[in-house]
Amino acid sequence: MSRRYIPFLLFCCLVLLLPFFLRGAYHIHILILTMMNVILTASLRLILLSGQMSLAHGGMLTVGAYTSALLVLKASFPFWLAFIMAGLFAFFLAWLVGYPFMRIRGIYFSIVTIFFSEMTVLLAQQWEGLTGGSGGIYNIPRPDSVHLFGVKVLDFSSRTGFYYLLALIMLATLLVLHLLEDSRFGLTLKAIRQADILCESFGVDTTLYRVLSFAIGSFFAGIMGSFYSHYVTAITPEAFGFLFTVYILIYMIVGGEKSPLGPIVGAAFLTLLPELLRPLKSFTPFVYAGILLAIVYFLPEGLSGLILKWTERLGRGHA
Amino acid sequence: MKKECLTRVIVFSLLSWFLPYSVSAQTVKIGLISSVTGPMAAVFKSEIEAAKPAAELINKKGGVKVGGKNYMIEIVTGDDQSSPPGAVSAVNKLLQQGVMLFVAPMFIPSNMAISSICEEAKALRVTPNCADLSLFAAPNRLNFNGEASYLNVPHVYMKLKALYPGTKRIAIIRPDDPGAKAITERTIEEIRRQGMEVVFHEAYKIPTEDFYPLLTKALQTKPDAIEGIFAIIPWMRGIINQAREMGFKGPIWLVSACGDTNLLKAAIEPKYAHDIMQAAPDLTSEKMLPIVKEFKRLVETETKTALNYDHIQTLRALLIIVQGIEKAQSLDPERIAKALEEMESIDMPYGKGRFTGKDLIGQNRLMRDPIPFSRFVKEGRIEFEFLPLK
Amino acid sequence: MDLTPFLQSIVNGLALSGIYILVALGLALVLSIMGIVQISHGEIYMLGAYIVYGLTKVLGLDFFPSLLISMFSVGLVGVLLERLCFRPFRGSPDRAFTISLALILILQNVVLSMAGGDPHTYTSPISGVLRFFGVAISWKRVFILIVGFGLLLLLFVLVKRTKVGQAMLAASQEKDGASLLGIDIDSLSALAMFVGCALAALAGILMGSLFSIYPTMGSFALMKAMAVIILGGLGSLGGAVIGGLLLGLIDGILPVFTTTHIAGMVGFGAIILVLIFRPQGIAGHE
Repeated sequence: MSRRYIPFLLFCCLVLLLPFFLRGAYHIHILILTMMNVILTASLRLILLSGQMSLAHGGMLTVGAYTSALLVLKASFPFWLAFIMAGLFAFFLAWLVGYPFMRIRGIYFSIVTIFFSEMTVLLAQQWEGLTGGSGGIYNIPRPDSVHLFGVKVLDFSSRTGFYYLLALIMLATLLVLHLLEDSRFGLTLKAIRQADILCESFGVDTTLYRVLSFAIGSFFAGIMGSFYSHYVTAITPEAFGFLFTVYILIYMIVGGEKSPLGPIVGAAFLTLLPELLRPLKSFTPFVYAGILLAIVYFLPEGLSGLILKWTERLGRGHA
Repeated sequence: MKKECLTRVIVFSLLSWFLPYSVSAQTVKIGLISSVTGPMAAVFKSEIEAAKPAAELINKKGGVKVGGKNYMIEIVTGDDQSSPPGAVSAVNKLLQQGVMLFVAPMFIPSNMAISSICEEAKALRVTPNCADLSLFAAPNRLNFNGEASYLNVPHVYMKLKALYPGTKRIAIIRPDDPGAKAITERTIEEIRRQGMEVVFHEAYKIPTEDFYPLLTKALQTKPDAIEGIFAIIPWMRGIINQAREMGFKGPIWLVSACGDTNLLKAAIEPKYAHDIMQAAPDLTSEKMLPIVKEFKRLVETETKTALNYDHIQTLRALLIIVQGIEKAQSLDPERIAKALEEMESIDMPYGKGRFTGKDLIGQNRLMRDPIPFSRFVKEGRIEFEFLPLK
Repeated sequence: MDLTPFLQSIVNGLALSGIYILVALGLALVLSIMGIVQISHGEIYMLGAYIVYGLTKVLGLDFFPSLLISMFSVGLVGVLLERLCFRPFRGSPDRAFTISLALILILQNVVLSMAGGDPHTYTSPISGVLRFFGVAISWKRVFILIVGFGLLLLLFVLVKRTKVGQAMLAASQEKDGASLLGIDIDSLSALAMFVGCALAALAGILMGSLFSIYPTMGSFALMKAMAVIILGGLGSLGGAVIGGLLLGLIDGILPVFTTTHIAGMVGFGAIILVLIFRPQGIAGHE
């Protein structure tokens, strides 16, 4: 059991030590964006495990971002509490709409989740008294610094503090999602995806499992929304629109949705790619499209599938 | 063999990421952050297009002269993707490249998002046009407003009242945007001060082109005039064409602008192009200063599109920065800021202007210069003048 | 009580219905009836408009010839897409979905790089305003209404009365069974894509003559088309009428009495409710 976790531990070390090798706030910023995308993609994948392709992440991000910002600004909550509350609010919202939504299958479910996201945007624009309307909310305060035994451990006046916070969140998230997937819960989800009627005949409440996976996935979207709003210090209703969610979907497809490695590889690759392709900036959408097409036609398992095949071959070579 | 190539490509790409950016000793980099992509891209497209021609215009005259040396201007664009997170990305990137002078985003949430970062880095910003005055007041010390539409409101309304003395009832149909909201509040104040009444006020979602439902509601209140506050040509086209279709014959105006008057003319039906006004220039008019005419030539050659109001915005911001540098004889943002604050006269595309606003926000950060005013008289004939400063 | 605004809003609503039905027809044929997961339908719509823009403004052709050329060429593009992109993945909607995502990116950005992101305009020769009982509506919109409902009727007749149409309906209900009966699913899909894309192009062209065109105009069309189909019923053309009328009337009347944002929310909310309580739509069969 412990051997399996070695790669993960190596990854942890890499992530935690990376800032020392980098110069410049901008690079750290890119890594922060990458980690955000990893968390969002991984949580989207959890929802997909049960067979539902959800595009509601955008809406949950919006909800989480506004909830956190408003709790801190209007109700003087400390950041840490608002952060958790944002996730919980997204969880319960997903639970609420999840039950009716689960009655719809296939692509129409995805469409309904798109409409849900659009509605959150409209609501944020309309409810000016609460959300500041289309102008959004600004001057959202950064988290207070964290002290451990009187020593300042995390300071948020610079990007590095945010980096470490997000790194910890990401590592925790990946661990949690992995444990969920490997557990009975995860196995049940996968079974439901393949043969839900059969599961029902075994007495499994498939709707409950589906809603639960939807709600847990949305929890992570919610906390990411909160992180975003305190990192950027300003949010607008359209910040997490349709296109944003589509990009997360693309990260997942490119990374490969069969393997838990998929979201990490997909999100990291596609977030960092535009930076490496800086001279070809206007071609970025074409590159994305090309990659998508290549995946569909040649690599249905995604990049993670490719990596796993390579490592398998390497393993076999040693044997 | 293939694997080696691939490794090399990857290593080089990663290395280029880490190598320091080259800085030329003879150029000054000015960052321009605006919406290249996203829902606001249509609004700000011309602003971005104008960057190269504007820099060319200044460089042709010898660039910026500091301490006896001539520096050429180089504009580096950043994309805020129409959202605050994008703006934060863009400004971080540019700051890392050593850029300290910025043409800041006109999209208010983006401008706000980068404010604290720029103030910390002590970077100078000129925002070409912004209606939210708080962005230029403390704690923001280094943000300058290139065109304070807010300040123009009373002057424009004085002119409007003179042209249409009988107007009592005004319907406001404006975009749902924080900048428009700020100007609207000032406008409503002014409307009431002049003894008129706001009979209708609604904000439409960006982008909207079908105004039938909104106009049905608005025209029910029997307004004498329709006020659009600020828009882009496709929206104004919808409002004007459809209002006239529905039988509204009264004046339609914009206390701010929607684009070059000629372009607006081309977009609306000729028989509807009467009694329409906006505080924007007719860029083909003979009254335009030589610098505008030259800029027009450069922009039209470079972009193959007609010179537009938003192109001028970029020129305004650059002229301010360049003259600030020359007056301060320094590239240090704080000294440039001080110079700009104190300069009695700055050459702007419409004439001479200066920064005011101490009474309003505690520091002189709002540009006041001649206000262009265009009017469609009949069948699209344009009358244009500069409103005097008072 | 002054009925005029109420009357005007109903007329506005009907005009919008015409637009929505036109936009939804193509998608109904492709997605709803033939089951091709074509998410880039909005971009096809946009392509039609831009081709007419290119033909009229750049080449100087007249509006109606350009319209026909555009419809035809876009139809052909549809056939090509069906052959290359959708036929190989008929069994897996997920992969088709991904391909159409890629198509969205490609089409939007090709147009962006060729024509720029600025909104463009062109006009149709139809002008003037129809006025009656204090209500005003431009002839352009009336034309769209006529074309929309007219095409719907035509399609209805074609599908119900011709062999090809019947074959399509059979294929939509049970693909394997239909092909066992000797129905050529391949040709049917190609035909459906040709007609569906041509209709999308027509919708885009007419909308472009009313408003302006820009590279991302497709997302609006896609949202409305999906809404109409879902509301009215999957697999049903008659449902498209009902869906279009309902949505058009909501979008035309509601903003007059509340704000545009709330009207939008009601629109989405209605669809979500329909999907929850009657997933097959008001007139659909599945």
